[in-house]
Order: sequence, then structure tokens, then C-alpha cells
Amino acid sequence: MGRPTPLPTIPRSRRFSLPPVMKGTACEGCGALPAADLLADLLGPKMAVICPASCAATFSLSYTNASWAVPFVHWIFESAPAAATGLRHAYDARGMRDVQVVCFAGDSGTLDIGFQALSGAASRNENILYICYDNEVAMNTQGQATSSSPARALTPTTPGGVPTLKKDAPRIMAAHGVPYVATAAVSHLADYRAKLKRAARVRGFRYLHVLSPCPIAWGYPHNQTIEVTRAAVETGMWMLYEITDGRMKITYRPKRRRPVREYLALQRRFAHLSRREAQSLQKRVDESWRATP
Amino acid sequence: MSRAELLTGNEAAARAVRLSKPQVIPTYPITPQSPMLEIIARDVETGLLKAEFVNMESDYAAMAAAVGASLGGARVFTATNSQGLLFMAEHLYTASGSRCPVVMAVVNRAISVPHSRYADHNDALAVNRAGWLQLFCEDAQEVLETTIQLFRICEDPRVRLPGMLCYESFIHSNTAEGVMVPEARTVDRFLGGVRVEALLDPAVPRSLNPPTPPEWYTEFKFVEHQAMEAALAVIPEVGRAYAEAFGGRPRGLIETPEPVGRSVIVSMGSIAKTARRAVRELKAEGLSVGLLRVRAYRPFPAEAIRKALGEAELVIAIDRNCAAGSHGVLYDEVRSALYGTAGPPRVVGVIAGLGGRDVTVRQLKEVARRALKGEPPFDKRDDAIEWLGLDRARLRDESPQARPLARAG
Ligand SMILES: Cc1ncc(C[n+]2csc(CCOP(=O)(O)OP(=O)(O)O)c2C)c(N)n1
Ligand code: SF4
Ligand SMILES: [Mg+2]
Repeated sequence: MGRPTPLPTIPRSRRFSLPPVMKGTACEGCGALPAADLLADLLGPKMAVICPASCAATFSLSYTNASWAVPFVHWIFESAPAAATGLRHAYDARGMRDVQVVCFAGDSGTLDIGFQALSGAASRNENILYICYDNEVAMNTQGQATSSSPARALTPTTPGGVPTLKKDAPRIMAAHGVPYVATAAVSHLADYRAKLKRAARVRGFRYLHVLSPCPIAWGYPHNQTIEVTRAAVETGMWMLYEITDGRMKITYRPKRRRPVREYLALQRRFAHLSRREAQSLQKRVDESWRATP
Repeated sequence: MSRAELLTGNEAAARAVRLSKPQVIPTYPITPQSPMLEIIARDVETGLLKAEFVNMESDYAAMAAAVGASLGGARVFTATNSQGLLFMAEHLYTASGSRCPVVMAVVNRAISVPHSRYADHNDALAVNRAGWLQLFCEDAQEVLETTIQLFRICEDPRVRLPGMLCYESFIHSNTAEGVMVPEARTVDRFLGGVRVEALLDPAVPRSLNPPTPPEWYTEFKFVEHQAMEAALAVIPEVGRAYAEAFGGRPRGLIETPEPVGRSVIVSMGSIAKTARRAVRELKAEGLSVGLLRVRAYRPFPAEAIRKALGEAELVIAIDRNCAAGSHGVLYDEVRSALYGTAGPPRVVGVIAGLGGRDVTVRQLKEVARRALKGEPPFDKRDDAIEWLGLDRARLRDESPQARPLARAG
């Protein structure tokens, strides 16, 4: 295992930043911050953000301060894609076709309670960009398990470890036949940037799933977010790819995949895993890579 | 110039929508609102109405999209009832709290369980604290007029609240009546341009709905309350303007077809229409019974009701709604409006027409006669409430068909 790299200072865009008085609303090393930052930087100022209840909604605005310099609404938990649909059509009706309508949502808001709205908007191929920042728990309510929590991880509501597999959201979204689906990770910002740019040029429903770790929930020091994310990618636990009009392309292939146990060992949520359990996770990762083009 | 046409309540609403030109119409079907949606979808397809018609994945999503579209500055219409309205509940508050002047038809239908497709007001009344205007119609003519008027009322800068246009499942929605339909150009003039503020606009970036501390929450709610109170003036103002522009009678908060006299039936919706005939016939019999129809239930016109009922001695509140363990809403709210006035009238209650049960002229006359005479249950001092047409024999019957929860098969 390499030496933990300190959290690099992420170039602050003018369009997303935590005002000094709001610094406490997000934790240091929050993986969702760079995900939001790059998004605002690349797509602003002609964009509007709909953000359902989540950690992101919490660090996006306080009563007197806002983090986004673009139109933003702290939305109801389970209906961001539906609201985005309405907003999109209002803009279209009013001749504002050049404004991007963006949802920025957590994994539970996306894949649990908001899944019907997500599938509805994707089925209609609404011209909106959906970003799911994935911290693999319902963190705004202290980190309970979601359908995006990985197998065996400890959470307060799965004290014996998550008994099921992580929901394969990007592929479910691709199965809707939408024009653009991609995964990203906050350790690989150039890759994320390229995908945001590509998504911005596509018309129709676009889905980006960004691995955005949470030091509190995953159990690692605040300054290791990039390291841990990179380990997810380098061990093959998290695959970077895009699916354009149904064709899948790996966008980053680790030269030699590091063993999964190196990723697991970085985090307290996997500390209870037996060697056998770690091996079985390794097997699953190997299989998923064998099955990809 | 207006033209007479034969229209169902649904057709009247759809026609009013065509004339009012909403820009975004997110929808999800439910019986019997769906025939109206189909007309609107056709109007959009054929270009009679230039709007974004969106087939959402649920009623809940339809209301979320309605609010989203309104925040984007568009005039928005949608429609629902019963289960759909309850499913929407969370976003009804999003709409009023965000001050979005969305107009929605609620084709009042009883709520399951037990399942029913027929009329009563329990759906709209279940959300009567959600910050929406609620206007109840008595016939297809009023459906058309109220739809058009609501866009102007809700978008009025003094109000800026969402509004429900309430008319009854099948009784109104699927019954054809003669309706005077105004000309498109005159409606354009009557409504003026769209007055929906785009709160989400890249030209003026704002962040909406911050976590609001206790020091501020009350003020937000009070401002909403003030807007609702302003609607008490705006509703009759727009009703008068409509009558001036298109003829017909000016519609306000309440309606008293004739001087109310000493005994008054208070009701809303189609029962009020039936009661018009009942009070006429009772008058012919020499009984002095008047009628007060509540058109605006939210905001509740307590002041107007107090004024109208100043001389009355007996008020018979007829409610097409119920709440187990409580009373009908008109019974409660009219009584509360009158409490503390000098020599207030006695108020008795009638629960009628639940789940689409017919309420006839004969029944209304009979119940009024009994109330006047103080016959049971109206001899009780407090909470003298009749469940009209209740068949007590059915309550005793032990056969499974008679139970409110039916057997399988
Ligand atoms: C209808 C409803 N149910 C529950 C909640 C409580 N709630 C708010 S945020 C949240 C979890 C959000 O999880 P996720 O979408 O993964 O975002 P995160 O907080 O992890 O960033 C929950 C359960 C709510 N706001 N609304
Ligand atoms: S709890 Fe986790 S997800 Fe939430 S703000 Fe802190 S680091 Fe980010
Ligand atoms: Mg989460």
C-alpha cells in the first residue's frame, strides 16, 4: 500500500465554492465537493441545478449563503428528475433551450426513493443531465445502507455487513436506451471532465455516476479521499467507462489491477472481512472484468 | 361574443385550458379525469394549443414537474383526484411554499378503501391545509369560468398561490350541459400575459429553499397566509371582471341565490345546485329556507358567511365529506365562523352523497323540514348530525356482501 497522498487542493471554480461561513456544512475531504465543483465549472453559467435532500443539498446552501453561483433548488428527496422535466419543458416553451437542466443527487435519492422518477425521465429521454454522486450510503441521515452500498460493507443499518450486491445503476440506466451513460471517480478528474464535456454536447437524457467517497462513512482519514478513490479504480472495484448510444467503452484500464484487499484495507467499513470474504469479492471483480469488452 | 355549446364538465375544463394557454401540462391519468387529458393532448397535437404536454410516470411526478415548470416561469396546468391527489400531497406543499401559481383540476372522487370511482369531496378536503386555493363548482358552466378565472387569480401578484378547480366525478365530469364559451381573443385580453416569475433563471441565479431556522419559518407561513387573505378580495374581483367581459353572473366567494331568510342550507358543489331547486319548492310550500353556496372553500370566506347569515336562526350544513370521529368541514367551519357573533344561529349538520350516492331534491326538502321541526337527530342540542340516507338495516346484516370490506371474488 502506498503512502497516503494529501488531498490535492481542487481548483475552485467561480461557480461552486463553500462560502467561509458555510465551511462546516461539508466535511473536509468530502468526495462530493470535487464532483460538484467540476460540474459547475464546466457547465455554468447557463445551467440550473436541482438537488434533492442529501449531503450535497446540505452543503449547497444555508439560510443566508449559497455555494452555487447558478440557479439552484434544494428539492424534495424523491423527485428531482420529475422537477427537472418540468423545468426543462418550461425553458423549452420559453425559448431557453441553451440552458442545461442538471440533477445533482446522492445514491439513495437516485437509486432507492428516486428510482421511479429517474426511470420515468430516462424513459421519456428528457433532455437533462443527471449526476449521481455515489458515497454508497444515505449519509445525510448518518450513513444507513442504500441499494448502492457495496456487498459486505458495515453501515449502521447493516451491522453484520451489507448482505446484497451493489445495484448496477449505470447499466440499468443504459438499458433505458438513453444516449449517454458514464461512470467517473473523483480521483480521475481528467476523465470526469471529458465525460462532463461530452455529456454537455449530447441532447436527451444523460446519466453520470461519480464515485464520491465519504471519509466518515467509509472510515478513512479525511486526507485520503483521492487515495481511496484511486484504489477503487486501480483494484477494478470501480470501473470507468461510458456507454454511447448503447456501445460500451472502457475509458481507463488499470495497467495491472491491484488486489482488491488493498482497497478494502484502507477502510474501516470492511475491517471485519475474513480472508475468504475478501477472496470472494476479488473473484467477483475478476469476473466482471472478464465480462467486459 | 360567447357561444353556447353542449359540453361535459371535463370538456368544459379542457376548453378553458385551450383558451387559457398554459405552456406546460404534466399529467398522469386517473378516472374520470382522463377524458379531459385526452382532449388536451389532441389539442396540443393538432396545434389548437401550443404547450408542452408531458406524460409523467405518476401523479406525484406530475405535480413535481408542475412546480419545476412553474419555477422556470411557465404557466402550468394539471389535473388529478382521489388517490392521485393524496399521492401528490408532498408536492402540493412544494407548490404553495414556492408560491407557484399552478392551476389544477381536481375531479372530486371518493378515496379508497372502500374503492369507489364516484364523487365526494374527501380528496380535496384531505389537503385543505396545503396552501392551495380551492374553488368548488356547481355545474359545467362554472367549471369553464372558474378554470379561466383561476389562472388570473393565482397569477395575481397579490396572491401567487396555486389553485384547485374542484368539480365532481361523473356528476360533473361526464354529464353534458349547455355552456357559454367565450371567444379566444377576449380570453387572451382577460388573462393578459403570463405572470409567472421564473425563480430559477440563469440571468438571476438564486438558491431556493434553504434550511430555514425557527426565527424565519413563521414569517414564511404568515406571508402565505396573507396571500390567501388577499385572494378573498381577488376572487370576487376577477369574478366581476369575467362577468363584465363575457356576461353571466359575477361569481365570488359565496353565492346566495335569494335572500337567505331565517333557515339556510349551506353546501357546495353539485349538492348546492340540487338545493337551489329544493329551496324554491320549499318556498312554494310556504317554508322560509334559503341557500348559501360556498364557492371558495380556501381561502375560507368566514366574513362573507357571517354577513350573509346575520339574520339566520337555523343553518343546515350539508357536507359531501366526512371524517371519522369528527364532523363535516362545512358544519365545523361555518359554526366556527359564527361563534361569538351576537345571537348566532343554531347549526346542524348533514353528511350526504358519499362515494357518489345520489342526493335528491326530495331528500333535501325532507331533511330541511325535519331540521326546521327539530325532529331527530336535530333535537339534540349539540352535534346534531344526520347521515343522509344511511341504511341501518345494512349495518345489522351479517351477510358478507353487506360489510364495507367486501369478500373476495
Ligand atoms: C421523503 C423523505 N424521506 C426521507 C428523507 C430523509 N433523508 C434526507 S436525505 C436522506 C439520505 C440521502 O442519501 P443520498 O441520496 O445517498 O445522499 P447523501 O446524503 O448520502 O449524500 C434521507 C434518508 C427525506 N428528506 N424525505
Ligand atoms: S458526511 Fe460524508 S458525504 Fe456528507 S458532507 Fe461529510 S464527507 Fe461529504
Ligand atoms: Mg449517499
